[in-house]
Amino acid sequence: MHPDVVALGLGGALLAELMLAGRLTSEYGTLVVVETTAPSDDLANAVLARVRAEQPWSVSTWIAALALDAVSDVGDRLSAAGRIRVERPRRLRTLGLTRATRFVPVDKREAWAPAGRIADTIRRGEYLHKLDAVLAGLMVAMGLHHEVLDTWDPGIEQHIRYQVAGFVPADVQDLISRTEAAVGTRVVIG
Amino acid sequence: MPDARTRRSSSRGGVAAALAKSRLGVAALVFSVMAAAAPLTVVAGGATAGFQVTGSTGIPLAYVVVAVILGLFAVGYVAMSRRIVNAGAFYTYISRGLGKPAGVGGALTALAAYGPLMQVGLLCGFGVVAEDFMTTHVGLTMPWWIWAYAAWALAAVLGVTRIDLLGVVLSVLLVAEICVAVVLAVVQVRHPSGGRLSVTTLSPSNLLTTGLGAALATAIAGFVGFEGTAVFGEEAKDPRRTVARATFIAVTLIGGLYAFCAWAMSVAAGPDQIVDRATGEGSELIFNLAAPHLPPAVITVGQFLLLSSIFAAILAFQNTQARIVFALAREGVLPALLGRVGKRSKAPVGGSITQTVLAFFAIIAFVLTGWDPFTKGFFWLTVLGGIGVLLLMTITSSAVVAFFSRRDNPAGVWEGRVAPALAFAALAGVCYVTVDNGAALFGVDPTSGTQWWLLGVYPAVFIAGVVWALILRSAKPEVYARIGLGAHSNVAEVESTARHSTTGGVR
Repeated sequence: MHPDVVALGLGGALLAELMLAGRLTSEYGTLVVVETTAPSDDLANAVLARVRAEQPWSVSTWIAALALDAVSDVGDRLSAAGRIRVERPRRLRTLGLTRATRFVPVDKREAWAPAGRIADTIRRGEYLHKLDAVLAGLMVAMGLHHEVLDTWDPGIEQHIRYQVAGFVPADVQDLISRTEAAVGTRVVIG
Repeated sequence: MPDARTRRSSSRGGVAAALAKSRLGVAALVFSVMAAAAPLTVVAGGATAGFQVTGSTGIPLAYVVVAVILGLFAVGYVAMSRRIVNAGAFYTYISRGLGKPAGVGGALTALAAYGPLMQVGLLCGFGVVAEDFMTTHVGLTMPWWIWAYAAWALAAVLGVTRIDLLGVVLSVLLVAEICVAVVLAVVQVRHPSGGRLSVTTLSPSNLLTTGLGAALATAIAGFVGFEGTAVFGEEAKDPRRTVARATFIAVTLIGGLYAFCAWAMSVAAGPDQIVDRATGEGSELIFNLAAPHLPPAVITVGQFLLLSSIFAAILAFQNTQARIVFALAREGVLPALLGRVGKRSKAPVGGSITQTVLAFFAIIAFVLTGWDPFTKGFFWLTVLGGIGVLLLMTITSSAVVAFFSRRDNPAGVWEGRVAPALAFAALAGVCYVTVDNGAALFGVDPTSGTQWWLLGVYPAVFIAGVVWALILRSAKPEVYARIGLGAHSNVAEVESTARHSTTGGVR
């Protein structure tokens, strides 16, 4: 995966968490705070604090802004929770070669569980959980769905879009669309 | 792990500052445009071809005139780019100004001009120049099409992989090629023909000759890609100022460089000789004129840089074509399959492969038919491609006029009315004389009608685009609604966002 695309996807995901938790929403494309109670998660709390401290910006601006540090922020959170191991190949760096930090899941089965669940649900023709629908929507936005869901079924994208339209709150749907637009803009700019 | 809250509050400024830091400044934007323009290709190949075809000595001045026209065009174009999403592709402006059917017509015009014509023409040109270079300097004699396919293969691979290191290499080569072009020009000016510096070719009377249209059309082809700055609107530090400044600086630099180099050649060859020598020596002229006064190694390096310059242009067209195809596929105007993106490379793989396949068959056609790769390949195709870009700019300028004439798009009198109207009038005038001089431009007998077959490509694809848009309007209204939005085509209420973001500062 290209790092820019991962970053934008995670930027969108951080906002999605807060929207689903009822802290943020969007109005005509602008990100708005609706509820200021601190979320239990440190990172989510920090993101909410940042949004509150700023003047109103568009959802797209926030996706781009959070994307700047999203990979390391989410990486830190997962490693602090003991879910992943962070590998920084030291030898390469001393040779003057920089190589991206690798995030390795501690429990592979746990890491792939949501993907397997989503793939199974879709295969059975059932409805996705709200949270899974958001996850699947973000996968499509990043162009990841074929790989993550391990299928080449050309109809899967349409199927996910249909479920997103049906079961995801309107503000999160809009957020997913803007994440997809941000990824697309990256492709165009090169 | 440090506490996320304290880390953030201590180390970060506002969102705008953080984003601005990660985004492109004026210099980076100008550089990206210069790279697509391939300066040495234009100076060595374009300017000499201009002298040759038009038989006019007004080529240096034509570059100045075109720079002024495009500068005027850029005023309204940049103003409009701030008010629309998916900025940067001409067809977007056409969709928003003249309606969606015209937009799809414009998109197909661009797809015809950039890929099948410009890029294939440049591949043929690369083959011919490489054959020459390799035979002379390396002692490797192989037919032109082997070299054309080598460039084709490299562009195909780079189009889908996007190796960052290669970007660095191409940037270094770009700086080198600009340096060589300037060095050659300075040497030529210091050794004028007959010992006297002549400014004859800069006299405005040159433009009043019969070759006027052809001269301007040749000159405009050298500016292809200058509109690219607007693509970066969303990624620029300060979308309002950065894009505008970068566009004007790029047009001025490109125009100045071309005019200076073309004038230098006319000085060294002599204004009365330049047309004859350009006809006889082609792209070698720029080197031949300076060769007596420079070490041979400089000339060899220059000839190599001409090759790398042509290749950079080939790659630029590969990528431009791929992005337009990607944007159209995202909208649903083209099949979704063509909108595929590389997982690791983030490159518009679908569009890139389309162009690769097309170019493969185009080169085969030249090999099988035995058409001359230089006159019929490089020359006809790039001139025809250049005319396509001219048509596209003309239609876009009229779209800018139409866009700002509507009540809901207020703008200043200069940027919204005067400049766009002047630009449209000038571009339409250039179009008229270009078509009028069509036979001379292609070097064909006016009575043969060949020029009409060639030029007829554009009305054909434009009408095909209009028809396709109208079919979509009745068969797939949801796709029709998204025309012109490109990567943003999936976002709801785009109109209101666009309006909001222009008032909000950073998008």
